[in-house]
Amino acid sequence: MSLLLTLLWPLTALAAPVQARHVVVDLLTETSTVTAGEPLWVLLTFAPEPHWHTYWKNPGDSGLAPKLNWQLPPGWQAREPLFPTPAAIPYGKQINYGYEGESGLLVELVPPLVMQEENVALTLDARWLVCADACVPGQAEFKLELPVTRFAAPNPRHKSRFAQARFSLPLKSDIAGTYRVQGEQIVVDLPARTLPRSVSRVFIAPGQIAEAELAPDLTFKEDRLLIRLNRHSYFSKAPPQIEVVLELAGQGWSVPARLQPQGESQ
Amino acid sequence: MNRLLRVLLGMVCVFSVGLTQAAPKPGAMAPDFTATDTQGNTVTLSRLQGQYVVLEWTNHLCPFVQKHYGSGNMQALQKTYTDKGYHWYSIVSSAPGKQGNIDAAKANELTTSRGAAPSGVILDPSGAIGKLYDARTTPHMFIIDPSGKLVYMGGIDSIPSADKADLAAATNYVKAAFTELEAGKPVSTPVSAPYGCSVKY
Repeated sequence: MSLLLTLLWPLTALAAPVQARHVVVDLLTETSTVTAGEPLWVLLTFAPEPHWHTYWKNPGDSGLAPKLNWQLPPGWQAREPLFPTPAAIPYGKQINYGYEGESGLLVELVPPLVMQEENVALTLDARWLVCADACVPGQAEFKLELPVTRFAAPNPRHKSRFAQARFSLPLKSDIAGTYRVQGEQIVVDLPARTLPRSVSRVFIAPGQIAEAELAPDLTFKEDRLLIRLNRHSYFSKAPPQIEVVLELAGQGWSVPARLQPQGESQ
Repeated sequence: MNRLLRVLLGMVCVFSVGLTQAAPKPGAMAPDFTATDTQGNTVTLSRLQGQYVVLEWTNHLCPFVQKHYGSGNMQALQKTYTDKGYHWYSIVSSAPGKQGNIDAAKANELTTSRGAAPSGVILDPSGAIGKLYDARTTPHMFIIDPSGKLVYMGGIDSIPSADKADLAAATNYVKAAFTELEAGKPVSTPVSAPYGCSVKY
């Protein structure tokens, strides 16, 4: 019996992929055991059928970002999922932000500093929307059971998937910019020193700040980049900070822009 | 020269205001349209002045629409407000060959089978009314006050999901707007994120 359980460990640690309607969803862990006080990285992957897509955190004109609901033991914390650089997916005049191929959301789970138990059970309730012309919502529950060890055992089978997922994230730059609401426009002002001199797409999160645009108005001025976007028709309130993701040839850069207080000079 | 420039700029501004007026905006007059509903009645928005009007973009095959019809939520709202004499039009802007495109008979059958209670269903296969209102999702809700002004546009509620279980915790923005309007107050959330499937233009 105990031998059987031992044999089953790796199987339970690797929750099976879920074949849902039009998409295969899986949850992978970077390590096959977990260690007190050391973050455990997990990857929720979506592999939609050809021409179907899932969504970025700001889905654009329609659609819905995946929702992750964790059930974790006491003392554990789940950070917000990290989304790969999205693509712009036009549908007629409307534009969505998301992923037509396989994509993965990286999530950092933070265990407590002390763990007495031998195993931990982590449960994820994942909900998503996958769309082509039609949209289909999906839901799956993933249960992970991981042994607690002094040193986290790497999971070589998942190494390349995690490397790929990290590569797909927008690069975090150490710069920060500002943005302001100017009449019907959103004007983003970024220090451009560490940014590419040409940018093919601009993505703003959260939603309802700027209208999705395939060809944003960009001006490189000395060492600054000014981005003028149409204020979203459903804009209601300017948050203290927005995330600006710039994309060039598949590579993204993520830059935070804080709201420039009114009257503040540039 | 400066003066000429200012005059020219002024003209540009007037022109662009003229253009943007067409886009729906809370506080502005709702764009007018005339259509025939699936019962054969002519509906002209400006002729409905004197009473509240709700416009609901819909597509019966969209899972977000199914959330609100499968739970009875949308029908209950329709009944509540049409019982008060308000007008409620469900509008289908799906183009021919696209998801949700239906004929009048199918629309009427759906109204009966789902126990829906709108004042009427308007088929908009050309997308003309949808584009006039820049309707983006199904559902997508608009409320027009008795003076013809748009007082609400956006999502049906505060929790974007296709899951019926989220209805209980969500703030229904149509209901919230009418509660305030009926108390003589301005709508505190005149705009919210419309969520759902894209309109199948």
